[in-house]
Amino acid sequence: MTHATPLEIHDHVYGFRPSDHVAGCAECQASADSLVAEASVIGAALRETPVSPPQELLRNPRARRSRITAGGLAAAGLLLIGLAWALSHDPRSIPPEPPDKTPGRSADPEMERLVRELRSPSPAHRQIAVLALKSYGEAALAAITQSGVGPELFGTYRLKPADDAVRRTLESKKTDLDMENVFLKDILSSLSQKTGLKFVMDPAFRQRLNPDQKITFKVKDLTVNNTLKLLFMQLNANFRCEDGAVVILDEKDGPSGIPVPARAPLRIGKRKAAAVGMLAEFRSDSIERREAARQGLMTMGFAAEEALWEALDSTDPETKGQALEVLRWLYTPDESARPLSHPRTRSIKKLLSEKRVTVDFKETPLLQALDSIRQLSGANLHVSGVQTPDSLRVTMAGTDLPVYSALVLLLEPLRVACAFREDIVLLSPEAASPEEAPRKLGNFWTSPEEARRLEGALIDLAEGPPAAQERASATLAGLGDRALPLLERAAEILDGVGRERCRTLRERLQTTIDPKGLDEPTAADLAVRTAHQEDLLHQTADLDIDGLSLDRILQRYGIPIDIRSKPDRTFRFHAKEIRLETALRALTMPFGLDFMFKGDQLIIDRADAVRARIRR
Amino acid sequence: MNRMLEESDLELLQSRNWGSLIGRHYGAVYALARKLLRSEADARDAAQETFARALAKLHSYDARRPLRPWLLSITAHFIRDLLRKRRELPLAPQADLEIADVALPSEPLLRQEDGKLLVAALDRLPFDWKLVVVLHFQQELAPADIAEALGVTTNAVRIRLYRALIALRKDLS
Repeated sequence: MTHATPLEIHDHVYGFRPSDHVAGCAECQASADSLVAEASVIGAALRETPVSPPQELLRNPRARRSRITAGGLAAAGLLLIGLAWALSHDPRSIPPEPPDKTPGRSADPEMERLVRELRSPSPAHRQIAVLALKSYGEAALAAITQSGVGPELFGTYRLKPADDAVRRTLESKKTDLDMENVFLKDILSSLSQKTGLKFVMDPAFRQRLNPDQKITFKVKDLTVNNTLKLLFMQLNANFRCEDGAVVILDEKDGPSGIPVPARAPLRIGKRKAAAVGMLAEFRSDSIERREAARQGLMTMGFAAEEALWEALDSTDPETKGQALEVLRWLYTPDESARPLSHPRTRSIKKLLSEKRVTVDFKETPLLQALDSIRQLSGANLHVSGVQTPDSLRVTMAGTDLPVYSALVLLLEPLRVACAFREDIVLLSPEAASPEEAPRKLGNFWTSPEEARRLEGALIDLAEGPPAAQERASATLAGLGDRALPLLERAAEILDGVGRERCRTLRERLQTTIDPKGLDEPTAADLAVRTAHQEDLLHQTADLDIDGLSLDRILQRYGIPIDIRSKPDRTFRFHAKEIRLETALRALTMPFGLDFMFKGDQLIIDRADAVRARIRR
Repeated sequence: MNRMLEESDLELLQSRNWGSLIGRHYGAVYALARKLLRSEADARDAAQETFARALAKLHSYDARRPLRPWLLSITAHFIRDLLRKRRELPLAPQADLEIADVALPSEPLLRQEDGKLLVAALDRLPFDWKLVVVLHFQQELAPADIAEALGVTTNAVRIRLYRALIALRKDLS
């Protein structure tokens, strides 16, 4: 007897297409009943407690917001916490400022300013000052000690020498591991022998870990830090340095963290007037304008710092709350810091673009197919977050394809995406793929000495006479890779001639450091697509391609495409149900191309030309 | 009952009795926003913005249609734009017409005690799928009303719902 398909049962239960068969067949009806039970669970889970409309809305339904919104509430909350702290705290822990008997005793005016803020009558000022001083880590220690402020304010941020040694090992040592079906303790023991690190399991993690669970783990030439991140990602665990050991935690018990030495933010430019203008937008009735102002202040980063501190004294609760939120973000490097290093994914991208493979997989186990590609290409492929990868099978054939194209087409039916992490290709389900995250808006934290040196160089480049500009260019060029994100961020923050000079220098350096632009943002990173454009990219087609060029292949999707630069080659591959976006990625990236929309039309061009067009 | 309510909505609209209209629909609009946005404050903003926009666009409202789906469609569009601007919009769904036949579980995989897990799994769904699930299960809108509110076909609603449920089961299994 033929039973109803799952879709037919779904249609029956949800009233799309009632089915006589389902109603009359005991087996199908049982499945239908389980769906009905699920529906009731979902309904219950989504139920919200009834709420009444705010009086303000009833009074003025055309008003576009309540006056105290997220920021205002946050500010009120923080103010209350601050007030409670101020009332309950022994006033002696913030003593009156001692007379300064040794003028110029501290070399850092920023530290002195923050210590003064600790004595501010405003709880918000004090709260942000504590947060900022904590973020400076060791760099703030001298100022805090001299200030006489109770050290208990600063929690346990202090870096112990033993933890710093662990940090250095994690960041500098590289390792290879090739272990199949082994226990976690075997991997840790091997790592311990190779690196000298001591591993300790937190009791909660030990309890949760299945002692019989076997792991297959292969990495090549990776820093220990990245190796551990990959390893623990599989086990839903994190790690921390504590008392000279690496402590493995259940992920719900906190994020991974390694101690940070003395550091300071790299302040780029000062744009107080522009920041004041944006802060005034928080009085607007338009939620879009307030959101744009928040984004604008975050884009300015530390260039808005002075105006933000002043806004903590605003009489408007929304302005005060938003200023507090942005300052908290600025001084929380875990959230707001960007690495002052260019992404180091060029070598893996180069390998995947230039190396060619010929593959023919028919219902091949996924892991076997990936092993085969790993052997053919030498690429570090790592599967993460894919449920039951052992049971998945793939079918795809291609002749003389770049490895990247083969991988993307192979993984498409499984909706698994490739993301690049230094020298690794991370294969994870699309919804969880880290590549989907937008490029992070944020600031740079580095050693205080380097921060001051680079701040000076950026000022000279933006405002200095030609000789100073030349010296600044040489200083920044000396940073190599690291100059690129710094100059990119400076061009976002500065305006006028300063912005142009940063942009020009960046372009010049990029042509030598990363001539193929492999680590540059793609069009997908830079442009925001409309819902309709997203829909167009999700059209699918079967691609049985035998010696066709890019333009002929893309004709199958039936939308207008303007190809301004096409790879001088034809393709041979067979793959089913390939989304247009996937086909584009597979067939453009390895050839230095990228794509963007102009209305409903797709434009394919050299990646640098597409980037320049979007940025313009 | 439904029809009477809709007529009453119309009467309230004609008499410009905004307070009663807001009182009647605020809870539903807020509940939708709360499930689509992470923060309560954002949900309140979105609810307020919905009514401000609805009053500004009353000329485009077809008075023969029920009011609530129209209000909810304003909320959904506003939130989609907001998330897109913040670049927090989860992946768009795969093509709506493409369906994988996945075996149904022999017994319910989603259980009462999984409520919190279920809401967390729902948050991981692509926005358009999540929206259909919330409109159907929380707002109890009929597929045709969801289709109209979202400007898509009933078949697209059917497939989004089917895919969303498969994804939820897979996530929670």
